[in-house]
Amino acid sequence: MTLVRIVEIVVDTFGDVAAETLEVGRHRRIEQPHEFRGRHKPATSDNAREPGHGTPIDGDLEVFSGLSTTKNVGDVIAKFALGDRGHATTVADLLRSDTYGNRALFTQNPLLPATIAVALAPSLRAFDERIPMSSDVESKFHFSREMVSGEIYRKYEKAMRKYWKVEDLDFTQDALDWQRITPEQQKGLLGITIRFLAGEQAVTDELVPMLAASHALRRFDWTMFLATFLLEEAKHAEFFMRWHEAVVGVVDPSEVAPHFLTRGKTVDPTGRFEVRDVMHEALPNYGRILHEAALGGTEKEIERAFVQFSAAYNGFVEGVLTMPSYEIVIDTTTQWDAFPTLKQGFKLILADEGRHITFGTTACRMLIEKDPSYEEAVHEVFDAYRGNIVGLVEYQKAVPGLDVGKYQTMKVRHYRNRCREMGVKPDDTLIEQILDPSIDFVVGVEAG
Amino acid sequence: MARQWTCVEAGCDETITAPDTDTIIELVQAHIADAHDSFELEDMIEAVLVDVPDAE
Repeated sequence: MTLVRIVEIVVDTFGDVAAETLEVGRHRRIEQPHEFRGRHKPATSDNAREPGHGTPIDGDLEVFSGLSTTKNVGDVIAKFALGDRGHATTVADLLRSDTYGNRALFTQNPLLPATIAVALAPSLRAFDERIPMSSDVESKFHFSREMVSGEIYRKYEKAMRKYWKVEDLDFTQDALDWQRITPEQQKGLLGITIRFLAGEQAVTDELVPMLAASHALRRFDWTMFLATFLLEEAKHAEFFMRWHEAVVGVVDPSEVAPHFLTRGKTVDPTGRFEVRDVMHEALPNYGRILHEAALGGTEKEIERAFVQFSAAYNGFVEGVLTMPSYEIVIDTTTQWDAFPTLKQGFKLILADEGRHITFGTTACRMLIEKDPSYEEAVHEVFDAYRGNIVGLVEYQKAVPGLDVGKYQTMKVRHYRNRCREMGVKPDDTLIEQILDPSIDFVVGVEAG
Repeated sequence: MARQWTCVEAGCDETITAPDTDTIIELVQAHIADAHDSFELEDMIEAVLVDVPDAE
C-alpha cells in the first residue's frame, strides 16, 4: 500500500482537514523530546488511548485528548502525510514496512492509519523540535566534510580497503595436517575451533540492535561502518564453516555438536564468583534493551543502552574475553607447525576484529564524553560478568604445553586498553583478581 | 607533533615515541612481540596514541 493510497483512504473516510485540531497537537510542549527515527508499536482503534499501546510517551495522550472523533484523528494523518514532506517520509516508511502486518490490517480497517498517526505525532513533533533543518531536502543527505574526516568514517574506508574473501583461501595443507596429528590433538583443537564456529554465528546474529540505534541517533557514519562490521562477522562465520567442512568434514549441526566442549555449570571453588553465559545471556539481553530504546526511547536512553551493549559486545566479549583465544590458536599452530590456513584466517579475522572493537570503544568514548554518567554502564557490564573474566580460558588447559599465565596477563592488557580507549577508569580490583594465581577455575568460552 | 604509546601490560611501563603513526605501530608491535611474546593490533595501537611535542 502506498502512502498516496493511505491518504486517499484517510481523506475519503474523514473528509476535510480541521486546522484547529492540528494546532493543538503541534504547539503542545513535549515532555521527553527525542530524535525519533524508529518505529513504535502501532495503536489500534481499541487500545490507542491505553498507556503503553501506540504511544511512545504516556503524557502525550493528553495532547490528543481532544481527538475523540475519528474525523479529527484523520485530520492528523492528513496533515502529516500531505502537509510536511519530512513527516510524510517517516509515516510512509512505517506504513510500507509491513512490520506489523500493516497491509492486511489496513485493508480490513481503514481507521488504522489514523490511529498510527496519533501514535506517531508526538515523536514527529519532537523530531521537528530537536533537529533543525534548513530545508526538508537537506534532511535527506547525511554526508558532511566533518563526518568523512572523522575517525569512524575512516574505519569504514579502511574496512573497504582491507576486504578479503574466504574463497581465496586454500585449505589443502590444513586437511593433510588434520590427518597427521594425534586424536588427542584433534580433540583439543576442534574443541576450540567449534567454539569459534558457534561464537561467530552468535555475534553476527546479535549486531542488529547497534544498527537500529545508530539509525535512531542519526549517526550515518556509524551505520556505514556497522554495515562492514556485520558483513565481516558473517564472513568470519563462513570461514569457520568452510574450514570445518574442508579439513574435518563436519558442517551440519548434528555433525559439529558432538565436538562442542560442554561442561556442567562452572563453579568457582571459593564461591566468590558466579560464571554466566555471556554470549547467550548478556548479548541478547543488552541487545533487547538497546533495540527497544532505539524503537521508542529518548536520546539518552538510546545512548546509555548503546554504551552498555557495546561494553558487553566490543569491550568484554570481543575485546577482552576472546583475545586470548585467538592467540592460543595462533600459538598452537605455531607450536605444531601445522594448519597454515587456520593461522592465516585467524590473523585476517583479528585485523577485522581490531576495527570492530575500537569502533565500539570509540563510540563509547564519544558518548561518555557527551555524558560522563554513561561510564557507570561500562562498569556494570564488567561487574555483572566478572566471574567469566577472572577464571582461566578453558583452551589454556585444552592444549598441552601452553603458558597458562601468559593469557591471564594478556587479559589485563586488553582490559586496560579497552578502558583507555573508552576513556573510563579501570577497576583495579578486577585486575588483581585476573592476576591472582589462586583463582584458577576454568571458564568455557565461546569466541567471536 | 610526535606520536606516543605506553604499554599497559602488567609490570611494564614502556613508553614509545615516534614521528608518525606507521613508525610507531611497527615499534609497538616489535615491543609486544619481543617483551611479551604476544601481538597488538594496528587499530588498537592507533586508538590510544597521544600527540606529544617533537623531541627537538
